[in-house]
Amino acid sequence: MLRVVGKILDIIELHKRQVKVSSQELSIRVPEGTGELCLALEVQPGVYGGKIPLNIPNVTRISIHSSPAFKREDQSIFKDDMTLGFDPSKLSKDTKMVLLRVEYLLEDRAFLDTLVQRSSHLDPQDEGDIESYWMTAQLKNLSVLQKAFARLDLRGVDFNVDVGVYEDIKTKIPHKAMRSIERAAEFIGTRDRNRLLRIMLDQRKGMDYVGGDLVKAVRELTDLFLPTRFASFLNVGLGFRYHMCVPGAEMIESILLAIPKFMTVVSRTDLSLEEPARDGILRYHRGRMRNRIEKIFS
Amino acid sequence: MGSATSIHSSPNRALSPVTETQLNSRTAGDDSSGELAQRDGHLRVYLPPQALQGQVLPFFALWKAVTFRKIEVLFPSELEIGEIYNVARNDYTVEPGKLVVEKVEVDGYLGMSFSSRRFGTTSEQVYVESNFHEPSGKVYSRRCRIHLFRPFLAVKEIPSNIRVNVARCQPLDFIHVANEGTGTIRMGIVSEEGSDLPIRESAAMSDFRKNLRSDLDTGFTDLAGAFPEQADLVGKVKEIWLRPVDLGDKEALARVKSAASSLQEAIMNNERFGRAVAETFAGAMLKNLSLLNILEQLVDYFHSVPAKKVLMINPLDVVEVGPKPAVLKVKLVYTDLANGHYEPVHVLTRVVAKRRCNLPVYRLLQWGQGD
Repeated sequence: MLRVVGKILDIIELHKRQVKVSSQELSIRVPEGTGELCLALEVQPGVYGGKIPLNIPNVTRISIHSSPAFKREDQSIFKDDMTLGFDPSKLSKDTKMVLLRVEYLLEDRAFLDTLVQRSSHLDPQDEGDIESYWMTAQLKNLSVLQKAFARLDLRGVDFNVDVGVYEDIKTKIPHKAMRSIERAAEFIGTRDRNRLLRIMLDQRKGMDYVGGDLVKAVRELTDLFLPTRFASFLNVGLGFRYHMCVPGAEMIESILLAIPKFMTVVSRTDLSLEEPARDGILRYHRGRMRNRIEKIFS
Repeated sequence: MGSATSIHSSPNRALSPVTETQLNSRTAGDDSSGELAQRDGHLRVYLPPQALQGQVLPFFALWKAVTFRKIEVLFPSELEIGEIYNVARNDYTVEPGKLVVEKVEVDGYLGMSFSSRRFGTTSEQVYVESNFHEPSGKVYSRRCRIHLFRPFLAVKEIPSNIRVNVARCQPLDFIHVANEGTGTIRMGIVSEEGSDLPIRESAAMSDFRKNLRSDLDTGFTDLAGAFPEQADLVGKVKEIWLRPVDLGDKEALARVKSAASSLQEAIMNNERFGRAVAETFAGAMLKNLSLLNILEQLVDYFHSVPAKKVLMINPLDVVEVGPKPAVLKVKLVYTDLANGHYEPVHVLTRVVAKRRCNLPVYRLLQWGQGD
């Protein structure tokens, strides 16, 4: 993150007879992997030394506005052989200060871990209808950043939290339905004639959950864990906001099922020099989910 | 002084989701409680309300319009300071149970993390106290409480013989177990050396897993090619996914823990990589789902949640029992949701079945309530 910024500042420093940095601000959009460096540059009077090429491959876009009028100075921007840059001699006459915005692609995505400490709750013990997962983000090197930038925004720092849903499913599917499913699965998987007969007889006794009803119920249950449906059981608060959710993949269980045991919920937050630490809450409305499952199988 | 209070007798006591903080303002010299109350809104201390024992715990303080000449953080001996943010190395001292910060680098923020040790008990209320000293001598105190817990797999009874009704392939005697701690257990049953009865995957699961692993192998190789900077990490994840993890192996669990946390970070830092990882898993799943019908998946699901706060990883693995009595020597291996290591529980018994049958391992266990 700071390597590209350093390269840009080095180039500006080489042209200090033309322009001089008076302040610098940085905004990082984490999800997109882009940074925006905003430099307030004092245009040195009388000396016009030509073009300033920002020959760094990561730079994708630049814009220049005069200050304080905030007039666009596009005529001073040039693009030569894939190199973007600007030419102070082409600025409007008598411009003393410009705001140069440089957008660039972040080189190394792992920078975030050196900059931010992220923690979240793994196993909530709430007994009620709502399960709460805490999340926190803290800037690690505030003073370094404050010395370098007048303003720093880290936008969209991601948090993945695994929300456990297995108990809601297990406790709210009636035992009769479970037995029926088990018999149906066993029926498909066995070749023993006596066993098949026994399963058939047992299945006839428990006619409540067979055939279409059961398949329909299982389908409705699966639908509850589609991201858009599951999102309605979530609420992200305080300094965090909901982004998306997906069925969770686990490291230990080497099997993935149509119905997840965990849903991975991605929330986002922003950090800045003014707000170097934030805490947030992800609430899972377990009670509503249990009622919904109960209704499907009732 | 920060302290730890055991609540072993009521491990499931619910906590408020909001951190309990308590303001105790002590003034050296004058009594200006009105002013202190006003300033209370300018100081905020955060410690999460609950966490697994062994997990990294964040702690931070934010304040405005005040400068402190000293900050003390007092904590119980079961906590250790992990990292401190916004304080130069020479501006703080650490002694057991106490951190003293003489100066923060940028005013208004003190950040840190604690690492927590495994407690002797499964449920502890721990208090962290912080005192913020103004140059005038006024002290603002905050006391934050955190509930630190862990699961505990207790074997209540091991029958000397497990008799099996072979017509239903159902045991008549059970190994009685319970989660006597707080927090989720993720457990499996593994056969041990000296057992006459090996544990193996059921036929349906075996085909499914074999094909899934083969497709994941190809998928991971493609993933490493597309993201060469993540090739090492992809290699580690691949190794874990392609071989079953022994939850009782401390080193294997440490590898899982490290790979899981690196994968999580890589996904959080790069949305494109996250999507590619998800596609690798989803692609392999979609190709093989036909091998395992939805009903079989559901059966596995139900039996993998045998009791409250228990997840079983191999419920449908089978032991082929009968027709002769045989020694069954297994270990119950388990971990928590932070992939912490716990000592396995060893079980030695004899299985008596008149005819051969494939007994799913979940049927060997009967789960009771924790104390």
